[in-house]
Amino acid sequence: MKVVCDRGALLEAVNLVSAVTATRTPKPQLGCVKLSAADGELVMAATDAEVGLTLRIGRVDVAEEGDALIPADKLRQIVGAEDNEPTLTIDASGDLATISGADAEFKLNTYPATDFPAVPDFNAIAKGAGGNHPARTVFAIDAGSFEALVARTLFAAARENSRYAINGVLMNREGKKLEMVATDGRRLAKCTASIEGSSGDDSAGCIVPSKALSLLLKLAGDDAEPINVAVSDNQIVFAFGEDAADSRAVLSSNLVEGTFPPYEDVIPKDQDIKVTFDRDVLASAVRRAALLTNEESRGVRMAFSGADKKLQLSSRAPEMGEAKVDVDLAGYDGNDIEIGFNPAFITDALKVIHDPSVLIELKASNKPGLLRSGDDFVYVVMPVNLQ
Amino acid sequence: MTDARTILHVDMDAFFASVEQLDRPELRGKPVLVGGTGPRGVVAAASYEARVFGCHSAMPTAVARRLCPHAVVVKGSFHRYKELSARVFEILESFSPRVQPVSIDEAFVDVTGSAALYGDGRTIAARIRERVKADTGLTCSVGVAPNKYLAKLASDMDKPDGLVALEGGTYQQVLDPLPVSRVWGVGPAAERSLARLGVRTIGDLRAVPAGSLNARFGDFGDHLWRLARGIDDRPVRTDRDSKTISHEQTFAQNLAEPDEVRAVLSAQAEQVARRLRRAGRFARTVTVKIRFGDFETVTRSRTLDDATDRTDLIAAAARGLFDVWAESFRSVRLIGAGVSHLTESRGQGSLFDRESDDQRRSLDAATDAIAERFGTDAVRRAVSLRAPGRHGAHGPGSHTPTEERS
Repeated sequence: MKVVCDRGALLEAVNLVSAVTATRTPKPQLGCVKLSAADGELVMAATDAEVGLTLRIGRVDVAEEGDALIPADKLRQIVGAEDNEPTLTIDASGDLATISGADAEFKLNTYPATDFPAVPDFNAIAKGAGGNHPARTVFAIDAGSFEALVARTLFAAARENSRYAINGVLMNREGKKLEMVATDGRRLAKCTASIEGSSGDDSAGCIVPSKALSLLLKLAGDDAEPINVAVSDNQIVFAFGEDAADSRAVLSSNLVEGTFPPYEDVIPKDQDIKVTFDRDVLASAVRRAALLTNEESRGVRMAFSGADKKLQLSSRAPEMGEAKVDVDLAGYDGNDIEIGFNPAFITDALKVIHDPSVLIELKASNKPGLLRSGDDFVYVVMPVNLQ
Repeated sequence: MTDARTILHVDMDAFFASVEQLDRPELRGKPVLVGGTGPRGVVAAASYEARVFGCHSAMPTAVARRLCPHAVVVKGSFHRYKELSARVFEILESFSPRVQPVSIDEAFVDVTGSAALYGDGRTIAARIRERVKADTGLTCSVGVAPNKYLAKLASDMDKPDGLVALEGGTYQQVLDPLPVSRVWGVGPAAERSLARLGVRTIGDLRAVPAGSLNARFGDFGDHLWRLARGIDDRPVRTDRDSKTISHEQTFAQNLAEPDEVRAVLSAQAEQVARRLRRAGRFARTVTVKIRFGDFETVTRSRTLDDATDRTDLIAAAARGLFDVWAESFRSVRLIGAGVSHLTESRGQGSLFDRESDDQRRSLDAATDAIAERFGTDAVRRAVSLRAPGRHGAHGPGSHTPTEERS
């Protein structure tokens, strides 16, 4: 295999696939990128056996078709360091790959390309291959809408919870409605979008690992570009571009097994205190009050007064000090209340709200609070117990 | 701790029984037993009128009734005890922030720093007794001394309604004639061992050279040597300002079965959780310490998602840590459970399982109430620091442990 590549395009692709490769693994092949040169283009693939990614790089000159399995880490460092070169040549034969620019040459030991596990393509999952069932649901959605769904839920997913299912994001399709839900047990984010122009009323739900969705955010390009999605019994695949069979990138992932907790039950329906805020004013107030909180006292106290439409935020860090911030409310309906929240949980949600006006609904100081923006985003957060 | 301290030991007089007599005037002057009335009921408190007949706490109610047939037995009202106890602790805290609760009706107070404001130890003790009497109608006995051990001895010397100050230079005369059983940590077994050395009083004990005590009793011998001289450096420590809460036990005979260790560990987790709740705090980290028969010691910790004071969560974490080691089980000489990373607030509640959390908390509240009411043994254990157990720890087949709180 021999290809001459545009260094910028190569670097971008290598950075993306490196995010997939396994770092600590007994199988060194999983730490490699597979390069395949054929039909005038270079295809790069990586997998950690859970998540797989395939990228097509157009700006290449294929001198000799073939495959190579190159350690991702070193390839990324070399391509990154050769920053004076407009192009790099990769020449692989036998168990060596030579990467050369004008004044430098790197020889890397490689692995036989046949040792690399198959990285699924879109149709293998959508139509079923190797004895697997065809996908339970297949649809296309514009990248802008899908990216918003992911960005507005993924942040709330658990990191390493023993309740394994919440370490991923729940994705439910019901006809034209697509919904994503994430929770870490203390807060929950739910966002919905509609699948324009999609036919069929099939419904399917699955839990997508956070790692796959973080990658998806990195891969998403133009808002209008379609993302084709197929969900099978145990895998999900995303193909970026108009034609799913001929897309610029294919991201696949095993699904998270397990049952997502009954999230509809924890979204409160009878909140009788309703407060309207300016998003940026609230975000700034919470950030400032959070300056005097610490591990000991994670909460910011929010004291709402309906009569004069004011909110006072206060915080206290033992042996450090205390803070007070006053906020004017845009609207207030209900009794006065004092309630504590982890400030990061409030600012996390405000960051992903596009609407300048935010509605907070409360009930009691030991009951969850609800944030709403538009009719597509709901965020539930448990209060912090303040003595 | 070289600077002279002033420590008070405040002990309510026959607390539960006195509260009953306070609230029910018809019981005043009569023998009253507070405790279980069923066939297996135990006396939680006996009024002084009943003590005359030999009734005392931790005695089966049936036995106490035989000793004092005309005694009035009442079930007791824990809420009322708790309410009055809280008022007493408020009074103590108004004289010094350094209050260490020992139980619902007993506390140490370090008033070393309060002299400028409120006077010397004896004056503060007198004022505390007045305030308690005025605010609650109850009496207490207070001991004043340079350390906790002497203060506790002193409070017991003129009970009920007494005030005894043991001051530097004079206390040795008071200590010497006392039986060795009054030494903190000396139970029946140690008492017998000492009797074999001809040691019956604290004065006798003081005459035994340090080397002999150490040779006979090891570390406990050093402890005896110090206490015979009224030396005790333990600070008055509130659970509030301690950074960790733990219980550990060393067994007179190594435990050979993992399940025996699990049982002890679970009891320790419960005690630790109860102390957390009493201090109004929550812990993020649970630690288990295991010393094997060959003296290899391992300490393992787990940090929880959320700070908790729930017995079941702390016990489950402790057990999980132990189970990792139970796979290659060897006999265990010491086991301990502890918590650290203490916080003032419970932190974030969980969106899910809220009902079961509420249920668990009310269960904990109920067991706390029972333990406070009948937990006289727990109160005793607090003073058996580094001491052999009270029930023949040196005898064969005994698992009665040495227990340590910190």
